[in-house]
Amino acid sequence: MYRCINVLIMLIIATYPANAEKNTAVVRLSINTFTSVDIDAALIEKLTSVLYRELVVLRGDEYVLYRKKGGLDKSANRQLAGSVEKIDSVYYITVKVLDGERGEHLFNRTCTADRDNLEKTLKRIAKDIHRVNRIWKR
Amino acid sequence: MRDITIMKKFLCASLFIFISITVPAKDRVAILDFQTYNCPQSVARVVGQMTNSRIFETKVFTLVEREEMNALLKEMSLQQTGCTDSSCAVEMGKILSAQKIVTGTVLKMDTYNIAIKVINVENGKVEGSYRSEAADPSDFEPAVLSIVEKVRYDFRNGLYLSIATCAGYRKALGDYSDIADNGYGGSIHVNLHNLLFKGGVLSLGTGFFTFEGADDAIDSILAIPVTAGFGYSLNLFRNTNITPLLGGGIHVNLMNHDPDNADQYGNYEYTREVFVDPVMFLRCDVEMTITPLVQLFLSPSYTVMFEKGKTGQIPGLDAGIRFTF
Repeated sequence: MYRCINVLIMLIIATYPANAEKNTAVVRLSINTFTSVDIDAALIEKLTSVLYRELVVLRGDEYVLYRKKGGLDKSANRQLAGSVEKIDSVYYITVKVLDGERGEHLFNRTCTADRDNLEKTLKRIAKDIHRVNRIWKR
Repeated sequence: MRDITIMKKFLCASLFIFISITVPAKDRVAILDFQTYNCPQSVARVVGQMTNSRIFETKVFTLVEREEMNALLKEMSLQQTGCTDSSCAVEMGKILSAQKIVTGTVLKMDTYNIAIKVINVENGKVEGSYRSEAADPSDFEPAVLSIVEKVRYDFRNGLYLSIATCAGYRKALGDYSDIADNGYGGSIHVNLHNLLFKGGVLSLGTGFFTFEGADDAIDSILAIPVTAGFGYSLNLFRNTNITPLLGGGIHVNLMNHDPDNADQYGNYEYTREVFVDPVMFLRCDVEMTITPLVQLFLSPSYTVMFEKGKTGQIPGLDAGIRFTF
């Protein structure tokens, strides 16, 4: 009987919207500026911010942080790192999301794009990241 | 009642033990930066990251991040430049608490030669060595994919599932040709891989095929096969796998008579509307990996159907797409 009551109480607490909001807000994704061997920093910065803005639109700014310089932000439990390289006229974009606590990859994608499609490709990657539940739940 | 409860507990425990045994924990793997010879560093980065992404997609390993640990590695004088031999990679793997380390090189001669090694951190043994060639940068993707396909084949030892959907053609021969002719339809196959031994495949399938009637008495026959087969999957070359399967099952045949012509002829021997016949089949799935999750396949098959001492042969060809989980 007591067990049933306990289970019911837990279910009520878990389904209460305010608590649900509080639980999911624990996951924060820190976006680090992409790296590149030979693409200029301004373009790299621009491409990172395209991904950041798209993720903010999709998830909200309380879940997504933008870290411009320095190493990985240890306060966020999800880290997004990426790189853009160019060979001939093709751009190779790699984006990975790491579990900051265990150092494991939760998302890892490499896409190709030409100059005109860079932003579109990043928006598509943002949508894919948004859809991966593992990233947004602890 | 008590027996049923014990039985339920026993079944749950058996299922748990079965899953624990057949689904081993994934090895933690760190992929080191690829080394280049005779080509720009950006090429090594692109090929390395492509390999990283494709290996991640296979879900064979848990990838651990190396870049995060760079500071620590620097402190220990284990910066990656110069870390090309197995012993150095092993030491790095221990620091990253990885069970395996993947190293890679890209060498530019007339073509780009891509080579990767999978090294066991515990004993320093090279567990896999793979090579592929790319004529130019546009060929990197298929070259990397062919390597990753071999890695997946060699290291995916646990049970996993794939679902395939396909369209196909059948031709009724032998005694079956008395009542049916060409058949068209589709089917779904659920495959359980690495069952009993590495490469073992259990395939369960069903679908529907509509056969044209062979004479005027029968309009059409709707055949619903329900089959199970067992086979062995073999990596043939690059990203192509071949799986011969042998199995059996039943065909549920729903016959649509033409009432006018049936009256006219009145001599066809199958008078039932529905008949169920046992079948045996031999099938060979030839699969080409598009991504580690998606394969295209072509599957020729030969089915023998038994009906009251008569046998019908049904050769067929299916083409479809398989999703691997």
